[in-house]
Amino acid sequence: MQDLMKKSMNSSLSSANALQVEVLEPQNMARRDLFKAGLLGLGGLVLGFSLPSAQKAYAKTESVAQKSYPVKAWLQLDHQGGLNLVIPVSEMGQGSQTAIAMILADELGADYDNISVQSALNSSIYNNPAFGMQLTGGSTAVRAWWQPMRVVGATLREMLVMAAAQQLKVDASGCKTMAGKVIHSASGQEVAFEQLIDIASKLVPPVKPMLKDASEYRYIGKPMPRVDTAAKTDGSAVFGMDVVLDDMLIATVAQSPVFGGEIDSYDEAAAKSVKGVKAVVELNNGIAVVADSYWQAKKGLDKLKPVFKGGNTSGLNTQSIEQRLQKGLKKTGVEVKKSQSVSVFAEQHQAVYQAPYLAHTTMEPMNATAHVTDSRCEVWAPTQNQAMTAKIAADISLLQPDQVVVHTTYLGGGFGRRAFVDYVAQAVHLSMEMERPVKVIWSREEDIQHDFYRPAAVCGFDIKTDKKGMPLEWQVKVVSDSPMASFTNGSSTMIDNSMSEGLADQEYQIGNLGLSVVREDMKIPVGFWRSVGHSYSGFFMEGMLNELALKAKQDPFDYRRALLKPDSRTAGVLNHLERLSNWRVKAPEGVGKGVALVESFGSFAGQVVEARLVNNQIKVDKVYCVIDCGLVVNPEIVKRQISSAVIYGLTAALKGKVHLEGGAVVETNFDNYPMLTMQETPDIIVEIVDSHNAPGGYGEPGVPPIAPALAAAVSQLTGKTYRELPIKV
Amino acid sequence: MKLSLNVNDQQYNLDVDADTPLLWVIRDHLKLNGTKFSCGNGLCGACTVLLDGKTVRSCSYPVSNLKNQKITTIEGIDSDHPVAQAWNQLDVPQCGYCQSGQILSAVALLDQNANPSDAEVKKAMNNLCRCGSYPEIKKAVDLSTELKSKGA
Repeated sequence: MQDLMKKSMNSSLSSANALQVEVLEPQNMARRDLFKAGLLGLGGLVLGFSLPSAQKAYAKTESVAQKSYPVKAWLQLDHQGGLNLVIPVSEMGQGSQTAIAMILADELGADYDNISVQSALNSSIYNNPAFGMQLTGGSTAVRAWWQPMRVVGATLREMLVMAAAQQLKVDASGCKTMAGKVIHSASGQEVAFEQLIDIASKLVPPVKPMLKDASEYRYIGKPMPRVDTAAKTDGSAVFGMDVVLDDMLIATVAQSPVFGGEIDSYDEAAAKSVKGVKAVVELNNGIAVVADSYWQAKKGLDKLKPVFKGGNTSGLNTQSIEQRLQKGLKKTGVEVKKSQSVSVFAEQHQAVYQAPYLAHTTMEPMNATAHVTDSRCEVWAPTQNQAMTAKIAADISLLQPDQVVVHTTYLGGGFGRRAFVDYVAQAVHLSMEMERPVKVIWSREEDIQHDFYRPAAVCGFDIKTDKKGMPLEWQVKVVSDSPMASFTNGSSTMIDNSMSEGLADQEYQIGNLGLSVVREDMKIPVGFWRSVGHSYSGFFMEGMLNELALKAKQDPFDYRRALLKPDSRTAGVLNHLERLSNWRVKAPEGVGKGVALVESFGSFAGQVVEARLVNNQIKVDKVYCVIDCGLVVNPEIVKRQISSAVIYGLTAALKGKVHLEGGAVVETNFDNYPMLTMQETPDIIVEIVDSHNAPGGYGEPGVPPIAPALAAAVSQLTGKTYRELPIKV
Repeated sequence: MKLSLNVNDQQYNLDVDADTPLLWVIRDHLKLNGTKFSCGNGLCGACTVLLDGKTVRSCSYPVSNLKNQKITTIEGIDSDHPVAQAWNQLDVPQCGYCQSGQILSAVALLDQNANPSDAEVKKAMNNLCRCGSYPEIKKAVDLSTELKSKGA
């Protein structure tokens, strides 16, 4: 799994392409039978096929399906012409349901308005091609599913064309699909898709469907409306929090504030004296109160007064952590890239950068619902990780994998937090204990204090430059913790690519670059935070470049251009950004401007920030953003993801820091771990580079440039250098 | 305590603990799940509902404080309400979790101020959104104002 994850962490388009070829192996596409009305209570044509590696699991799935479990398939065409599309990725705001529906509509020749969507259940047929497991993350939804979803659409299109050719007794080559109909161009005859269900269901799906040329797209590239807007404006969208089952109980938990600690004592009788409280249940690292309603459970937990003992982090506080990270710079790290020592140079620059732990704070706190019986474990969860949800549910319930059903609800934010499934384990455990469906809901305090945090990191640069200020030797060492070790239960010495991503793999032509990585295992749970390692390495790398440009008395755009091949995508973004932001126009008195540019997740994002100081506080006025993320399915969604990422990144750059005291997290809620508000939000202007490259990611790449661009802008105002996040004037 | 609630013009009779926050009565007892739990402390606004047209953060508002006010939740906002129309037209939600509260805050704002300035909108719309959909929310409030003035 680590290798698979690494592929995406490398943001490598080539690995995604290689995997796409696997997905396209035509002989592995099996035909699904027509499911008669009754099985689903709907009827129609159901199309499903699995990835090559999943043939066996798929056969199992089918037998399960016949036992009245919901069908696992790609899409269903009903007798009214409606298309129900199964979306293999979690929708957490990034607009993937919409993008995937658009891809399918175009390749099939469907009417976009006739498409409805549902989230996929757990099945290996929905494994993310970038990871080999059912997981949403790494900004892969479009770049990994772009090709497979086109194949799904093209497969059904060719079947419907063959069916229409049979019915009309014409040659299939003279037929095309358009807006939910097959059209025979020469005669002008048309047949609606739904009238072809019976014939099409008896056809063998094509082994190698032809994909359309981009010139035939009607929807791709246009700002089509989102498929989830209506449900998210009338309150009917079902998030994990909103799952209601008959006979369901509600639990809330207290977990050991010191990480790795366990429950010592508690007042069970006091908790049970609260009306509606049904049980007190000990968990691995904490304790739960189960009641008829959340409020009763919470009151019970308040009265329970749990006391915890032990733990792995008990001596740690923010100061000791930061000292340990700084000392890590003196250690010999794992050498990722080797540089040659240069003895002739004009100047030497040494700098130490630092970034703190960060929490995700999704608006929807962690929660999950489970119902475990003797023969089945059903889970409803707002999760990014159906694979681990299913595995942990099977492990805890001691049921077989095919007895586990995972329903993915809407996610009230993900940002990487929901790649971890600790809350799912609790729901399964509690349902077994209570022999009833149980929904576990964390308070905001539990959510902030038991995150898988963006690891804190320290980065040391040692750079020698020539007399023009250009680098002759570039040594960089990063000290941090490993999210992947946390994710895979890896050893305390394991390092992963995300710890140093972005520090050596940008397009800058720095020939003599050495990179080493030191792992400091703090025993604090760490994980994937929006843009992962780039969230800090972008600040380190681009901050350093801005410093070097300043020292060399060069414009930061020119300095970067001198390090870039003129035809590189980074250079393209840089040129576009220079125009968009009117960079050469001098900023008004009191306004500082800064730039940064980061390649991540297969895309290239540049930003210029304009900021002022008001009462010695940073006020960000404007952010200009340019993104080259290859082919764009829905430009409006891309723009909003960039704007969203800027606000997410600004929150961190201005306010974000999780502190530890006595091994426990200090912050508890939005009053001491604040978010950016509308009033603090700058004008954000986004432009997308026209590109025919393969689709890149766009959920995360907007995060990394904002902090270094802001640091440079504030630096202009104060004359200070900012090497630590959050930025404090 | 015995309670009689008017929620979205429907009458409900209940028996709940007096200290129960309005949020949990709405969610757990009335099963109206459009109103969201997020901070539990009145800090983020995800749980915003209207009492006689004015916003209240229901997660920290005990039901015993109620004085026969009419309660409006997201389920009580018709799809042809100018605010709902604007939110739909502009495709505002991303993850969507905070949007019920945002929409109700906008409804209350426009009821009290038919033509709010930019500064007034930014001051009144102080609900948190972790996806950062603020620019779209701002545009949607402006469009709601326009639609409302046209009598939509």
